Order: sequence, then C-alpha cells, then structure tokens
Amino acid sequence: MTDKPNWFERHSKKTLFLVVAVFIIFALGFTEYLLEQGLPQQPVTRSIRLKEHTPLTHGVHAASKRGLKMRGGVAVDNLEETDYLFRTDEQGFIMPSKVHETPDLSMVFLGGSTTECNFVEEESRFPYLSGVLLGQKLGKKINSYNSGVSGNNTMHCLDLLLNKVLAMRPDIVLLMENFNDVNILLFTGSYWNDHGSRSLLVTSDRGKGRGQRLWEAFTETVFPGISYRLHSSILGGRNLDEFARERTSGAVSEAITSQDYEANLVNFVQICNARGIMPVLMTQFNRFSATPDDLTKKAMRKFGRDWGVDYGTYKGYLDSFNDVAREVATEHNGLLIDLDKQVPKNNAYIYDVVHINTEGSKLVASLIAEQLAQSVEVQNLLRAKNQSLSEK
Amino acid sequence: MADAKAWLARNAKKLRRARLPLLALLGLGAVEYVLERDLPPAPVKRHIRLRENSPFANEIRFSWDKAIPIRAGMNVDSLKGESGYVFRTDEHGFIMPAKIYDDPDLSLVFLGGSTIKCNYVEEESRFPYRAGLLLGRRLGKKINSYNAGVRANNSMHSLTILLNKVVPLQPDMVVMMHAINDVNILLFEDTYWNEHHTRSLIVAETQDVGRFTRLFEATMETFLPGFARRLRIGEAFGENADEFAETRGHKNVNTNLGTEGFEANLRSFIAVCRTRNIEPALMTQFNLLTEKPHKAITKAMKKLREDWGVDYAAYKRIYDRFNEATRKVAREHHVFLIDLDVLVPKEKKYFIDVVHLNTEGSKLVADIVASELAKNNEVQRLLATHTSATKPLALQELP
Repeated sequence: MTDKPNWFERHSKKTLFLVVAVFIIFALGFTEYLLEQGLPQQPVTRSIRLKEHTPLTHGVHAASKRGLKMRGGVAVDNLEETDYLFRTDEQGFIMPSKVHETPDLSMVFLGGSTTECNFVEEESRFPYLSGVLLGQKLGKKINSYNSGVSGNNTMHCLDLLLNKVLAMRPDIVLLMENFNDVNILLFTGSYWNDHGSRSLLVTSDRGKGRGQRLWEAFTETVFPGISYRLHSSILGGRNLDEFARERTSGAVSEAITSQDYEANLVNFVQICNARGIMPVLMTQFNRFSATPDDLTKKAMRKFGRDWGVDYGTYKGYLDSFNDVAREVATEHNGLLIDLDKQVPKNNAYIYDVVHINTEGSKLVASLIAEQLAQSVEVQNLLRAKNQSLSEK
Repeated sequence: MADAKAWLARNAKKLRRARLPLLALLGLGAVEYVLERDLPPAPVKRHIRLRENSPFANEIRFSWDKAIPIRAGMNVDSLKGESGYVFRTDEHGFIMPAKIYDDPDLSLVFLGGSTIKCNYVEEESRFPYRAGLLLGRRLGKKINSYNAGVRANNSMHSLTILLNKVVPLQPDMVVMMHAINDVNILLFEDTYWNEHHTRSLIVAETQDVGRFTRLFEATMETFLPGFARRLRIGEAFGENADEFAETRGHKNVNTNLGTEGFEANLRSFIAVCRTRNIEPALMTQFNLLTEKPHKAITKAMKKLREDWGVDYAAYKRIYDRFNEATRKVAREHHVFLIDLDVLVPKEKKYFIDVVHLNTEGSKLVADIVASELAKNNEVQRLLATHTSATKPLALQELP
C-alpha cells in the first residue's frame, strides 16, 4: 500500500487540472450570480418595419401554376410560365434603377406587388419602362426607381417615403395601392396591427426564447448551407400564405371605412409638397368589372368562403378606395393617373384579379409616360430645373 | 508506430462505438459542404429605427449619470446624488406616469428629444406629465399626458413615431418641441438621412456582426446573461457615450445651415396631425443661450469650437434660426404655438446645462405650458364636449 503511489500521485496533472477547472467554473458561476443581481429586465427593443427588397438580390421569380397555387390558391390565366429575372440595387430598388449618373429627372414608384411586377420581364416592368418612354418623349435622361414590395400598403409606403425616398430628392413620386389596404383593413381591422409580416412595429428577436436564438445562431454559423436551403424550400413554402392565421379564424364581418386610407393619401401628397416633390396618385388597375369573368368569379368564390365577403361588397371597397384617390388628387391639385379606368379589365393584360403580365405592364408604362409628358406640372418641373442649371 | 497500434488495440471497443456518430458527422459535413456552394451572401436586412424608450423600463438614474451636467459645468449641486431619479416607462415606451385615467376627457402627447424627456427631473415633476396634471386640475377635467421624449431625437424621428405609434392612440393633441438635436444632426452629419450609428433613420441589422460574433453573443446570452448584459451596458454606457466621437475634430461644419428640411418636417407633422383629427401644437425650445453667455456655458461651448469650429455666437445664430423657423411655420399654418424660448427665463437656476431643465425649471415650464394650453381654442372646445364631474382643485394642493 505504501510503496504504491496513491491516486493523487498517479494523477497529479489530472488532479491539478480538475481543481483549477472546478475553481474557474465556480468563480465564473459566482461572478455571473453577482452580476445577475439587480440586472434590469431585458429591454424590449422595437423597430419599424422597412418593407423593402433585400439590397443586392439576384434571382428569378419562377412562374408556375403549382408555385402560384401555394400562395393561397390564386387563379391564373394568360401568364407565361417562365423564369423572370429579379435583381435589386444596393438600396433595394428593383433593377434597372439608376441608369443615368446625371439624370434630368428622377422618379420613384411606391406600391405593392402590382408595382413590383414579379412576373413581368425585367425591362418591361412599368415603373422602369415608363421612365424610359417618358425620357424618349421629352428627350431627357430619366431614372425611375421601383420600390414596390408585395404586401405593402399605403402606411408602409409613407414610412418608405419618409425614411428612404426623401433622401434621394426625387422630382416625382408616384403611388398606387389599394388592394393591400383593403385587405389589411378587412383582415386585421387596422394599419396598426400585430400581423406577423405586415405590422408597422416589430419587436426584435429578443422576444424569442434564449434557446431558440442560440439554436438559430448555431445553425446559421456552423451549418449555413443546410439552414438556408431548409428555410428557402421546406420551411419557406409553409409560410407563403401570409394570412393563414386570420384565414382560419373565420370571416370578417365589420364594414371597413376609407378614413385612414384617405389620411394616408393626403399625407403622401402633403409630405411630397413640403419637400418640393411632385406627387402623383394612381388608381389601381384590376379585373373587377360589373359582370365578373369566370376566373375572377372563381377566385372570389374562394375569397368569399375564406372571409365571408362577397364579390359585390369587395368590389365596392376597391371602387370606393379608388374614388378616394380621385378625390384626394382633385382636392389637393395633384396629378391623377386613372389606371382603374384606363387599363382594360381582362386577361390580355391582367393574369389574375390584379397583377399584370408583360403586355399589361407595357400598356401601363405607356399610359403613365403619356400622361406625365402632357402634365403641366412636369413641364414646370423641367423648366425650373433648366433655370436652376443655367443659374449655376 | 507500435504505440499507435497498441493504442488502437486497447481502444478498439471505444472506436467501434464512435464509428457511427463519426460517420454521421462526416456525412453532415459533406452535405453542408455541398450546400454551401452557390450560397447567396447573407441578406442585408434593414429596418427603420424606432427611437423610443424601451417599454417597461423601471430604473433609477444614478449619480454617474451626472457626467453630462458635470461636463457642461452646470448646476450639478441642484441634482440629486445617490438616490437618483426614477425612470419608468409603460408598455408603449411612454415615460410614466402616462395613462392615469382609463376614460380621459383629453389626451396629450409630447414629442421631442431629451428636453422633453427630462431625465434629471423627478418623475412627478417632468413637465409633459405635470402640465397635463395642472391643466386638468385647473379645468376640472381628466387629462392623460404622454411623454414620448427620447434623448437625441430630432424632428424626423418624431415624425416617424407620430405616424407609427402615436396616431393609433388617437390623442386629441400632439405637442412637438425640437431645435437643438436638429441643429446638431444637420451640423455634424449634413442630413437627416445619415449613417450615424445611433441616429440614422435606417439600420442594417447585420451591420458589422460576423457569423461567429453572433454565435458567441447568443452563447453568452444563454449561459452567462449577467456578463453579457453588463458588458453591453458598460460599452454603451447609456447616456454618456460620445455619439459623435467619429466626426469630432472636423472643423468644417456648415454655419450657413438652412432650416428648409426642419420646416418641411414641421409642415409634415402638422399635415399628419390634421388629417387624423389631432390638434397639432408647436413649441420653441427653452435654452440658456443668452446674448452674453453665462460663465459655465462659455466653458461648455468652448469645446464646441475646438471640436467643430463653431463659436458661441455662430452656434447661437443657427440655433435661433431653428426656433424662428418653428414660429414661422406655426404662423403660416395657424398652428398653436407655445413660445418657450421667450416664455422661459434664461436663468441658471432652471437649467442643468444649455438646454436641459432641472426639477425647478421643469415645474416652471409645466406651469407655462398648462396656462398656455388652457387658452387653446381646440382644448376648450374638446373639453366643453365632455361632461366630467371632477371638481376643480386649487393649485396649492399640488405637490
């Protein structure tokens, strides 16, 4: 017993290491305990949603019936099933955007998916194309920025205008949106809702559990490839229906009013005016005619089942919101481009109930370019710009 | 070599057991390797900064907060020492006391920067709250008054807060006071749409945080939250961090600074309020920028010259232009104006530095704001339509 070295002697290194390690862990634990005393509650940090496209996106939107079906089962006709190139610049505007270094005129389009034009060929998306056409008509260099993002309503557009667009000092800002406004008001009752992807305020991920955040950070750090592909395919697909939660919670019943929508449009005009920007309001093109075609009927039957709003009522909302745009433009001496009246309500131009195909986009671009070219305000704008240039 | 063989032989069992997990790990690694090819760069997510006080804050501003007044060499003696100032916010981040009545006759919101926030004023004496209280007692009505002041906010921040956070509360009146933060951001950063790390309007979420930093932070947050949070608090050191460290020393500021952008913000503020049936009111900002500066102010402003090349007189000229712009816009749009720049005596006893009030100053401002608001037509009209039975209280009864 005595000549044999005891356990501690045999494992002196291990023992020493163990003692030090235990000491460190205890010291750490004790310090952590002390530091946690009187620690103020984890602050809730909130931000405002910036509904823009991720800057420097480079990808395609694949138009396939199956893919479109996943988005809440939209009925589609006359849409070419192909891949549509989709790129954004460093500010998240859909390209082509800044095509001239020293433009004579610059304009920005605000709106939702109907402005975004996912399933339209890149060079034919109307926000860009109308700039090209107007440039040709006036013999001027025009930059035209497309800041349409699917789901954007006029409140998102106001936030974009104030925080992002004003900084660019554009000459003209054009706004077209009413579907997303009608929908958000129908489905959540207010612009100031707590919807998962359309709310105005967002509480940061500190609201998530600690474990969840650690797991996310771990997967994204060690397995970025796997986690990205999982999110973009399987998990991403699940979330395509943004209103799944509301859809299952039953029908909307209360009638909506256009009061806040009107205030948003008036604010749009006034904020532009305060900065010397020419505001342009556009009513929204759509396929809601007095007697709906088969596709519209079919699409709205599903809508009616989900939300309990029939065709006539829904069309009534859209029409009254378009009327608001007309009234606001008249009352505030703003230019109105009445696309609701000017774009034929059929599948030659519109492939579902609201979204235009390439043909439709070309038509819309020519309508906008024509009306801008004829507008007295644009003439004045160009004259004023020339004057300030020659003064310099 | 023989040793290795012997080791393998000795640990054969262990190795067999480890085979499966090892293979799985290798497989996972291979899959990850394949999937990482052509991986698009991590997207840059951005959001709009919501400059509010964190909801549910409940803290006491301790004496180390005094660094700011000490730097300005001001009335530090009038500030409380160790007991500190209570600072609490409600669920919306409004400084408490905020919603004191469930069925108010009138509700007011005050928008502005630290001069509205009143850090170094006792809770019940912060003027946005106290003005509501005084007005209510004077008129015998129930008034809720919300303090949405956030240190360093300029009029662009306030405009965004108004639209996204205040409008849905449907207040009767929103009172806004801005000057010095607008002057400073435009002097130091040239524009409201700057890339300043704490005052920019847009924030990129992945800014400067590498993948592994994020993993490290998440690990720390999970296992050692005490360390993580103390480190973060220390680093930002809340109110005392020098936010303009990066640009300090550039003596090239534009002393001909115009007020067009500021005016556009004020006009937009008025427009948003009026379209939402909210009565807008503007206030010029109280300050200690007298013709002949107080001794302590001279000292504080000397730093301004060293850092930015602006002397006292030049700074005062710019600053005065901004208060004048507020008067002009109020006049042009027939907006109710409380001219605090004129109404609040420029006396040291009310201030802790160039623009921040102490408790005494805040009480004085509350008196002024309450009696001015009592003259407002819209306030009288709104109150006339309510029939609250609260008995008017004598002003002496107030603390």
